[in-house]
Amino acid sequence: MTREEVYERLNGVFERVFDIDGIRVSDATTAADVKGWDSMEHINLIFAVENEFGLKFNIGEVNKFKNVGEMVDMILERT
Amino acid sequence: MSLTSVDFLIFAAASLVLYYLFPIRYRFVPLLAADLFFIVRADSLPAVSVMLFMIVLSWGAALYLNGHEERTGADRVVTFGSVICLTGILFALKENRFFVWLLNLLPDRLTGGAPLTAPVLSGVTPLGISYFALVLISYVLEVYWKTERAEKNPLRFAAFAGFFPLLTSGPIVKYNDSYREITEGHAISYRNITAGAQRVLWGFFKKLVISERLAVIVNTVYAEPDVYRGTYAVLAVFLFTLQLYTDFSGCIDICLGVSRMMGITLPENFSLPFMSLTLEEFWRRWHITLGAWLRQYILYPVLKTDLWRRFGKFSRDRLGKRTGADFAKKLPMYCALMISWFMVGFWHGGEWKYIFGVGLLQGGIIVAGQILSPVFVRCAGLLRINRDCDSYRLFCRIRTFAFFSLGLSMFRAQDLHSGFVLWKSFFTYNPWVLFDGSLYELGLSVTEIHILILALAILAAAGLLCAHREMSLTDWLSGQNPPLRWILIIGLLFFVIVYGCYGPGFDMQSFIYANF
Repeated sequence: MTREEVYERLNGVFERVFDIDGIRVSDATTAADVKGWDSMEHINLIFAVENEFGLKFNIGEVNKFKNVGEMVDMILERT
Repeated sequence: MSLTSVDFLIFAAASLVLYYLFPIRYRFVPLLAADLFFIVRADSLPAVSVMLFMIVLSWGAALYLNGHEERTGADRVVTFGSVICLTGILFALKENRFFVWLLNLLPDRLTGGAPLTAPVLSGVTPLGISYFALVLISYVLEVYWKTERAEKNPLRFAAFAGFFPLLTSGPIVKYNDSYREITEGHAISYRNITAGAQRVLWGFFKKLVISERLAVIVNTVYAEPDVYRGTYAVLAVFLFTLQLYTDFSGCIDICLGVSRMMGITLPENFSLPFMSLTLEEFWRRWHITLGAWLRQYILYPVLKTDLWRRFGKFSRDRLGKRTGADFAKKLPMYCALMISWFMVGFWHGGEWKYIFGVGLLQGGIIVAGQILSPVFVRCAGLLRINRDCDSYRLFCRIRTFAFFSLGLSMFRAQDLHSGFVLWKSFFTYNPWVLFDGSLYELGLSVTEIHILILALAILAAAGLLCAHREMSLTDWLSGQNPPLRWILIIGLLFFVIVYGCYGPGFDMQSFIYANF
C-alpha cells in the first residue's frame, strides 16, 4: 500500500469519527488541528483505524503518536 | 526538608553549583548525590530501603525485557509481576485504609469480631512514593511495549527515578518525555538560571503570602462546623480551592523552577485551570500529569481489552434501540471513565472522602454533562440564551469553579460524613456575615485580609495576562524592558520577604500534596 492510498482511507476514517465532511489530514496534522480530537475521541479514532486497516496497536503505540504522520508510518510498517 | 525552608534554598544552591562543576556528560552524578541527600534527610532507613528496592526492581525488570525480539510468556510474567509488586507496595503503604475498610465489611466470624484498624506505616513509606511509583510503572510498561529501550546504567536510572524536585508533589513525569531531559547534562545558561529563579520566587509568593493566609480562615471554619455554617461554610469551601491551588501550584513552581535552573524542563501540572468553561476542561488543566498518566495507563488499556470491546458490541446491539444509538455507543467509554475517576480519588488516599470528592463526584458530573448536553443545548435555545458571549462564559467559569470546589470540600473534610454535614450546613441563611465584620473574626486581622486580597488580585492579574498573551509569566517578563522587569522582580521579592508567613514561632502548613 502506498502512503497516498493510506491517506485516502484515513481521510474517510477521520470523516466518520469526527463527523467532518471532506476533512483532509497530512503528516503534520495533530490533535490541535482537528475539532473534537480530544483524549476521549483519540481512542475511538484508534479503534476506527484498527478496523479500517485490520491491525492492532499496543497501548504504548497509542500513547506515542504525536501526529498523523507517525500513525501512517506505523500503518505502513504493519500492512 | 520543606521546600520553603532556608535549608532547602541552601541545598538547592549547593546542588546547582555541584551540578555545573561536573562535565556535561557526567552531570547525572551530582544529581544522584543531591537525590540521595534529599531522600536520606527526609526518610528513615527502612523507607530508603523500600525506595531502593522499587528502583532496582524496575531497572532489573526492564533490563531483562530489553532486546527480546518477540515477547514471551516469561516477559509477561516479569512485566506484570513487577507492575503488581510496585502497585502492591504503593497500595500497602499509602492506600491501606481502603483495604482495611473492605476487610471490615466481612462477616465477624472471618475477622474475629473486633474491627480492624489501618496500620501506621509512615515510618517505612518513602517520600513521594505516590509519584515515583507511577513513574516506575510507566517505565516498565513502555519497555515491555517496546516504545522505549531500557537504561543499562543503574546510577543514571536512579538519578532519574529519585530526581529530588519531583518527590514532594510531582509532577508525574513519563519516562519517554523526561528521562533524557533529566539525565543528560545541560549547559549553564543565564536565561535558565533567571527564569528558574523567577519561577521559584513566584512559588514562594503563592505559598507564603496567599496559601498560608487562606489556611488560617479555612482551618478556623473547618475546625468548628457547628459554629460556622451557611455563608461561612460556602466561603471556606471556595477559599480552600484557592488555598489548594496556591499551595499545590506554588510547590510545582518551586520544583520546576529549581529544575529549570539546572536546564531541565519538566511537564507543566497546571494551565490556568480557573479559566475552564467545563469541569472536563478543568481537569485537563489541573494536575495535568496525573490525568495524562491515568488516561494512558488505566483508561486506554481498559478500553482496549476484549472484555470492553464485547461490552461495546453488546451495548450497541442490545441497548441501542432502547437508549438511543449515541448513548449506547458511548456507554463503554462512560463506564471506563468512571473507573479512571475512581482511581483519581483512590490515588489521593484510600478513603471514601477522596474517592467520592475528587473521584466519582467529578467523573459523575462530567459524564452527566456529556449525556445531558443535548438537553442543555435545547433548553438554552428555548430560553433564548446566547451561549457565545462573555457573560455566559463567565457564568460557565463560576459554575465549573463551584462544581470543583464542592468535590474538594470532601477532600478537606475529616471524612465523608463530615463532608455531607458541611454540605447540609450550606442551607443556613446568614448572608449578613459578609458585611457585618464577622469575617474579620476568622483568625486574620484587617491588615492581613487586605494583604490577602491584594495578593489574590496580583495572582488573578498574572493569570489573565498569561491567558491573554498565551505565554508563561517568565516568558512575558523576559520580553519586557530591563527596568520594568527588575522593578517587578525586586518588588515581588520584597513583597514575599515582608508579607510572607514564615519565621520563628510561625506554624507553617506542610504542602498539601506532599502527603500523597
